[in-house]
Amino acid sequence: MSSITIAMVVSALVFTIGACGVLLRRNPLVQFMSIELMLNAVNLAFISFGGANGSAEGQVFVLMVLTVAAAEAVIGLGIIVAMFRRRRRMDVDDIKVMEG
Amino acid sequence: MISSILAQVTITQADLDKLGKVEWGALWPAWLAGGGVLIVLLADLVLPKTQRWLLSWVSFVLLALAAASSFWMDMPRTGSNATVFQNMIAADEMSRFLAIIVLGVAALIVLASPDYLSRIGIEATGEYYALVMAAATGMWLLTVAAHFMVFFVALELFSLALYILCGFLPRSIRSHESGFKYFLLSSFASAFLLYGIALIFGATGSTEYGKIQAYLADNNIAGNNGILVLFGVAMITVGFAFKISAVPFHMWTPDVYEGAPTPITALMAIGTKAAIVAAFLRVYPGVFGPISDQWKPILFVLAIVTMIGGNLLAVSQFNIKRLLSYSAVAHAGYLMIGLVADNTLSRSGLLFYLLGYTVMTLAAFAVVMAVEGPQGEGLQISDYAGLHKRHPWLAGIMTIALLSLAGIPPTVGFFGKAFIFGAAIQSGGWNIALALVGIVTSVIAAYYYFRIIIQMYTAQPASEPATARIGRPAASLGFVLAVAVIGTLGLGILANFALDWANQAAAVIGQITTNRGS
Amino acid sequence: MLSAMTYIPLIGAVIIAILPSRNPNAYRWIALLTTGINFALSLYTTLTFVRGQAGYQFEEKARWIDSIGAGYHMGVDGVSVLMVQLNGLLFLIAILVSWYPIQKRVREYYVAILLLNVGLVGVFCALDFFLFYIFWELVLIPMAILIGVWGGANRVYAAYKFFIYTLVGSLLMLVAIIALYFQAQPLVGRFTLDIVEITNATANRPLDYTFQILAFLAFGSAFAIKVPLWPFHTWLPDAHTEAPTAGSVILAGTMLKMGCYGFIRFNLPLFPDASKDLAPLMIGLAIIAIIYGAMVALVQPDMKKLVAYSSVSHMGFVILGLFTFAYGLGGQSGRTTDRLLLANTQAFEGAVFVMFAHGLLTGGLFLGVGVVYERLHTRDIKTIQNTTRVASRMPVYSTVFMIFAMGSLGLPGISGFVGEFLVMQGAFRVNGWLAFATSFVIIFAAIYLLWMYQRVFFGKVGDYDPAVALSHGAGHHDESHGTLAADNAATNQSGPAAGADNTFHGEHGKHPTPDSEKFGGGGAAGIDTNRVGTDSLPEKGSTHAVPAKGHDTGHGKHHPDPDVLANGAKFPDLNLPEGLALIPLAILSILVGIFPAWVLDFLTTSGSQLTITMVEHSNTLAEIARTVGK
Repeated sequence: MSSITIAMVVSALVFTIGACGVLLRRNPLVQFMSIELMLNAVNLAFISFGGANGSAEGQVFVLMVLTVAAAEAVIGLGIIVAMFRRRRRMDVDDIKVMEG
Repeated sequence: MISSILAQVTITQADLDKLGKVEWGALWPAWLAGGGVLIVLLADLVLPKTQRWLLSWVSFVLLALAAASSFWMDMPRTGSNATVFQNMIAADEMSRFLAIIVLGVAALIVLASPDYLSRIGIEATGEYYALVMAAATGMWLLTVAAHFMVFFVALELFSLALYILCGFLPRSIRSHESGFKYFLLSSFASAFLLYGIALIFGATGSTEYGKIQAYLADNNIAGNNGILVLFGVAMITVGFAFKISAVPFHMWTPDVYEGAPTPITALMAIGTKAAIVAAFLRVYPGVFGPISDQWKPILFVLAIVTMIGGNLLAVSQFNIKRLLSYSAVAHAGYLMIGLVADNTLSRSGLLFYLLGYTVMTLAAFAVVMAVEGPQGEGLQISDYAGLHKRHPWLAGIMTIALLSLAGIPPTVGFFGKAFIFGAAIQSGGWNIALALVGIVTSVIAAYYYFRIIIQMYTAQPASEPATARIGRPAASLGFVLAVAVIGTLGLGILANFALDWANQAAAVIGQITTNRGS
Repeated sequence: MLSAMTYIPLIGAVIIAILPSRNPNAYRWIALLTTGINFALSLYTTLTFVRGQAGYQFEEKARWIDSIGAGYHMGVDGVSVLMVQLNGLLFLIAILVSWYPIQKRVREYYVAILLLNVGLVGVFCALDFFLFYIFWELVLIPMAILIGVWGGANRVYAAYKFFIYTLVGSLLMLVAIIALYFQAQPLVGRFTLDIVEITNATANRPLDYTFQILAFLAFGSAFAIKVPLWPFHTWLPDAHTEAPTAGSVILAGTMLKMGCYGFIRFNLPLFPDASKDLAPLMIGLAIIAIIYGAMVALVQPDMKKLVAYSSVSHMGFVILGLFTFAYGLGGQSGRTTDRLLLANTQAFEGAVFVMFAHGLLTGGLFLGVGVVYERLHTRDIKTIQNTTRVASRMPVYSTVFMIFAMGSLGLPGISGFVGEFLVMQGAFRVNGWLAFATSFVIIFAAIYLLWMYQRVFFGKVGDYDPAVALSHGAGHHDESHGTLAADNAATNQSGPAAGADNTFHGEHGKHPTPDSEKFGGGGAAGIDTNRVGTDSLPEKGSTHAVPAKGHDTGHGKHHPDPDVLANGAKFPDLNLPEGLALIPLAILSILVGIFPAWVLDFLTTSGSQLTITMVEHSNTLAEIARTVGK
């Protein structure tokens, strides 16, 4: 197995774990962490493909994703904290004032 | 390792030359709208509290200038000059068309906001306008992206701004919920998009539209590469379906739209949708044009399911914002017909439809803004009973907007639908089924839109509604209403001008060229 | 000219919408003025129309959406000029009869009616598919609003039903139009939506047969819903029953003709093979509609529903005429000239004549029902029969209504007869039994119309006591007419109503009608009116006799007003606007019935033109030409 294949398998596994985490876990913080996990799986894929393709685009993309993920963390946590202040409980099943 | 990669990257003299000349002039809308964010934030600090109302006008002027600037900037470019900033950004006729749509809508929404915000008791602060402007910048950049990196950053730019804006109402649980749900599901969708981009990058060795398109056109995609491309397109499609709220990826839409402040709902329903559809108009028929066999069946099914699902779900809604959000879902289905049919008429028809969708949805949401009460009353359809007596003009505008959404002439909605269904019929084969499903669902849609019209004109409110005392909308909101309703009727009756322009704009799709020969 | 005619109501609607004045009379006068101009223009068009000249006249062309080939193209031929004329007349009448009955939301009412007028004129004049479709749909919303806001008790349901039914049809038509657009492109040589261009282009190279059948069905279902043809008719009785009088008049008078017009303008010339081959189907449906409409009308307790079902029956005649005409063109061989001679054009002419006559007569019948409803607040035949004897209270009205009823059942001398006769003659050429079946239905028509007339106007058969009737009639006549004058003077002080009303009754006095003589005092009452109208107003009568004022809240109540229905109660004969609307309509119906040639002259050219088109466009003929050529 070449190194790129290993990297891809790992990346796919991490991505799947992250996706399952978002769908199955009920704590917003954990869901949020799962999303970070997915983004990092993407980063792994970019880096390994970048290496394989011999282009710097993959690495540059990773930097972009990291930056955006940081910004997203700030905003996401801000929203979660604002909700927690009003509810004092952390379970997405409670987030159902609207019927959806 | 890095050095070994760098060694593989060859930098020619031509590349260095190009670094020297940067086409700053091609991005005037972004400079104005993005710079406007800073201007508004600064003005917020400087202005005394009594003068804060100026902020909405400042941001309106800046956004309107940004939209108008597409006419005096270094655009449109054609041929190999169409992309600027190292092939990162497309500065063509379509960019100009969408600058008018996206930035124009944002400008009108900031103008409409103060009346609404003051009514629901929120101080219209600088950050509100700054965030709207940031979102508008992101949306426009998304439509002009010619590189997946720009695509991603622009997407996140407006998404991040919208997360905050959705949760902007400090005392409303619904608003917080809306912000959180949007945040969670949108990030989730972004991750899928990104993963798809990564896979495409792995298969084609680039994230630049032109290069990917050229690679897909020149090489037979098979074997491992084929699997990568297939998965990549599938992942991107999932992300796309989430973002334009196609059934079955639409679950977040009604909740987010219901909870968000109404101007922001309008911005999401119009600006975001237009930006994403336009961006994918560059991606699907353009970048993935050579492999259209792989994505057309997926979008075909999505379009049918979305048209049926969106319209059926809208029938049972009692909240006007939820109804309009399901109608936005349904319209995503109609827009997807334009992507699947994929011929000359469908592309220009799609752009025309976007323009029409913009004005008619803006008109509908502006009426919702004008009759909404301080605690979120007046949002039930039953609250629209007898609206005609209280506000005859608002009822009239709502009627025109709803008729346009239902696709009844002589409004712009009819022409949009006619062009799109026409394109589907022209492309023949199974695509005719798209037009037929579109027709059948249009009848369902007409039913639930007509229900509101009947409410407004014939029904008597059971008791005096809580919003009965709301006075006439402020002049600024009135201006927005006038622009939207004149657009809805005018673009219909004078469809020729808009369609000609959309034709020119659509001509660039699929012709994205990289500056390969350097 | 045609554009002016189309858009003048639009200007009127805009003026009414933005008028700062809150005085309802201002809206009424503006609406009257615009429809008046519209009527005058349509009259001018009709009178200057060159009969016997093939093709379209008063054509107007302008560029519109070039990139898809849609243009602004208006024009009229013999059929559409008649429809436009009918339309102009009926809208003027609709405005007149709404003068007093409509007391709530007057501004919106007239805006809706005028918008409806725009759509209807446009439909009959448009010669571009897109333009046609726009006008076609423009009709939909104002009519639905008219039914939904000013209608009876069940108005919202009726409005939904009307809206959804017609929308389904229109959208099918839209698909067919788009498909035709692509199918016709190779024939025309470019993308176009121009009706004339497409029709001419299919002359030499007919459309593909399968496509013809499909497009015929799609267009046909849109038109059949509008006509309405059995089994698509179920929206019509609801819509008619709930609509305000003016709405019913327009609905029956011109909107139903949109469907027939569509068949004439599109289905027959564009899809001739399909028309011929599907003619048996359409004839069958038409026969069912004719018989079914008549049978159901027999058992209707509601006057308006009765007239509505009689409409279904009459519109069946139109379709029957059109498709016996189409059927006659099929299966013939020989030279074109022979086929022209053999063509069943009287069926076509009869069909269009029925359209025109039905507009006048059924419009009149609905107006008449509206007049009774205004006074008694009920349309239930039995209730009216049990409580009062309309003929003795309203002699003029009874006479006029008699003319419409007789015309509608096909009495020779009134316009209804001519069309039905021609259609039956056409049907006879196809099949004698067909003609037999339809003529049988005329008997039904006589039964239900006369039955209704007798029960509504002459009350209970059993308790006719000449002495009582005479004393009642004579005793109350002058008072009831006095209250009429009082009513007019009170509600219409600004207008010239009182004086004009007197002259109107004076005329009536000179020509006493049979039934007013029978009950005695009719003529005398007319003379009395002259006196009372100029003298002081009797106070007592006005409590009962001003139904126009307070009844608007009671719209839709089907139970009658006990005051009015109390035995011996008084209610006035026709008031000025009603008289102005009904009497000319009745006179016109008779004139058209006596001089049908004036109308038929418009149709001869259209008929032979259509025959030529249909014969030449047909695949079978092309086949023959090809084999002959070999």
